[in-house]
Amino acid sequence: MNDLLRAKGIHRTYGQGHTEVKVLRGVNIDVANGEFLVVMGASGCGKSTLLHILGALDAPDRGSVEFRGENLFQRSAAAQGHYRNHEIGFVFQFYHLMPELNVLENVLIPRLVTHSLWTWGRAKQESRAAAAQLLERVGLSGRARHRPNELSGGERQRVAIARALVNRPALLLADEPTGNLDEVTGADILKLLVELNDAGQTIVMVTHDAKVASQAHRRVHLSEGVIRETTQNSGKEPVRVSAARIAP
Amino acid sequence: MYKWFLAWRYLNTKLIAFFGIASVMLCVAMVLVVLSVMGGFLDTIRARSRGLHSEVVLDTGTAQGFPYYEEFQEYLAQELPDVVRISTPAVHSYGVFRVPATTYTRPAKVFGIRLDEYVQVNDFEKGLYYNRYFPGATHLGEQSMPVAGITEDGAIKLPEALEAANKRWREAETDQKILREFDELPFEKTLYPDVRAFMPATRVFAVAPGPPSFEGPERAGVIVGCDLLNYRRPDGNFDRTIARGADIALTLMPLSPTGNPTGEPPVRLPLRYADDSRTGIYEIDSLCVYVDHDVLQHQLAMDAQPLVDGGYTKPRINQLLIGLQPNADLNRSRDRISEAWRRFCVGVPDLSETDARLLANVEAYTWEDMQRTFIQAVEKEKVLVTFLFGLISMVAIVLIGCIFYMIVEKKTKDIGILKALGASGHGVGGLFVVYAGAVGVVGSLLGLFVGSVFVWNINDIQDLLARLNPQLRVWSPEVYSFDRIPEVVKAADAAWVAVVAVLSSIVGSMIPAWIAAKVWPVKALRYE
Repeated sequence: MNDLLRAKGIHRTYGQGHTEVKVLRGVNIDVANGEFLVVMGASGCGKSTLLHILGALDAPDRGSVEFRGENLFQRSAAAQGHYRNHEIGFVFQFYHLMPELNVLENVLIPRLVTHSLWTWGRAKQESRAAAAQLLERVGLSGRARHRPNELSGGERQRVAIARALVNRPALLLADEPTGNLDEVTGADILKLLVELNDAGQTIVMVTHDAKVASQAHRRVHLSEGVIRETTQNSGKEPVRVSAARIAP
Repeated sequence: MYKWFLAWRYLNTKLIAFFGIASVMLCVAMVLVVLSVMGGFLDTIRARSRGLHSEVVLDTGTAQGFPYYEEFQEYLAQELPDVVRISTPAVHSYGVFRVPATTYTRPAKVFGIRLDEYVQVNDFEKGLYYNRYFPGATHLGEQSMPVAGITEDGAIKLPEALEAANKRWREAETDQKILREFDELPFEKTLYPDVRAFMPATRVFAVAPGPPSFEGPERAGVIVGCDLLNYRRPDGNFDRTIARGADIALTLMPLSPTGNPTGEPPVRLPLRYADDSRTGIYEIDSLCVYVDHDVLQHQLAMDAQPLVDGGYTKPRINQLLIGLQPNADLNRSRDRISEAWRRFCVGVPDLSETDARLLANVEAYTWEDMQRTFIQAVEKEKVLVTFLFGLISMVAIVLIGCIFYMIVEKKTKDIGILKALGASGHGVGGLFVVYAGAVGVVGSLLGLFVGSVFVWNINDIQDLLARLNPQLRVWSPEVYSFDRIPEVVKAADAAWVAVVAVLSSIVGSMIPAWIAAKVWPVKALRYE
């Protein structure tokens, strides 16, 4: 068995006024090392909620998420923070870049979270080099000093991907990364993600776009709070890389 | 690291932070100005009080004074040579001050002093105006009016003694600016015997054709408090309208040792205006005149008076001013002098009942004791005013709280991003605390600068306002004792104000920081 992440019996209910909305009703999902997994489903079916729970941004009412065999939600808050900072990288539909920072600084933010004022002096040079290398890889080396408002949507998403990868996470969680982009730009981003996966990066992506989902190794369909269908894309096999990480 | 980095970046880019900085700056400047002015006020009172009296004063607090002071001076010199450097007697009374030439009258407190000794026990000499430019020329002995002469080439020359004194000053004065100012403001002349100057000026002497001379009958000199005789200009300098050496009259009422009027009509004492004195304390400078000790003692019938049995009363004084040896401890010296006084009183032979009562009233005080009530009142006033302004400045805490609440609301998405990237709740809260601290530091530094510049120029600002509208003169010397507003900023005060302001900013940000720490990242990230 080579599961990186395993979610078992995930339940999540949100209160909306006096009514309760049962978003997830016992989701089971496994993610293998090096796999490119897509979670599909209609709008509001709980895809993003599931992604947030996998990323320890939200906690399930019931069920567990094991990362490398260890239940995330039995960890301390600090350990969960460490998990978000070191083990996963988030890519959001709306990029969520910090407008006051330039491209390079946005990419460096996870590193700044990792280090204290005292350790940053030693890590600064290596971190900047890693961020610059990632920007080159996503094709934005010439825009390092630009602010997010000076970039196109596709460029912003590339910055967000570079930021998600700067701490070399084992798992990239992407929440509709092409959902806010036009078809051509979305295809570029998807191509980048596929390249990253080909290099060994494990990716869990949420989308409702079947064309986008066709690029993944495996698709799961979320409906009425449970996984209804799992489809293995033909001819797509995950690259088996132990503890695969993208070297920036 | 992200806390420091983002706090610095927010500080540079967020306009709203400047409102926080501005509020901290204004509060710091306000408290610093109040603290500096009140602290300066207190320090000035202390410094002036120190210079007003001698270090230790033997005083009765009564108008009729106490006898046997000469014997006690000798006793002190023998018993406490390690403590007492010098002692000098002083008498004082109230009278009516009059300038005969102008019929200008004012009530006055009249001090009888031995000038040469008096200047050795306090800072009186520093405040003598003419004595500064004509050192050694001011005295309280018999003197005529100096009248400047006009030479053939039209130059005005003072009598030789004054010219020589001025030459001594010129040779000793190293500050060329002061010398230049003296020459640029030549003394105003007034035609003898009309002692009224043509117009107000800084130095006024009578002038008559012919060689310089001393004119008129010799009379004892009098030093007059500068606010009693002269007009104070808005810039703090004085216009003198009376020529040096002009006639002055004092009307006095002598008292017997029992405190009753002697039965004689009030004494009219003709004097000559020898100088004016400025202590800087309005109550003193607008009330006090100084004449020779022996003259006043005699006029007040406090010298040795004949008795019906053929004997004489002992001469009396109101105060014995005692200057201490260098490095003598003030309070300990007072106690030793007090003990010496008790021993001395026990040994006085044939003490009459009246004299015994007068001696029993005598107490030794340090200059601090003499002004304690006043100094303590000002100390309390300083604490109260600083507290009140500090309380007002607490508004800054609330303001910082409001501003940071708005910032947290506005940066909810950033908080979500940071948490998604691994930042803890404490870390995100800490970011806003660091940010508030940075606002406090920048606001404090600006506030210290603005407050200090304001304090350093506070008198110029007041003078400017007073020129625009006299009603805008807020510092009244009649109310605040001193003619100028203190304009010194103490580093310790500035440091305290800055530290408290930074801490206040941090306290103000606590609730918003707590709210930021509790932000649910999922909700924050849906904030689009």
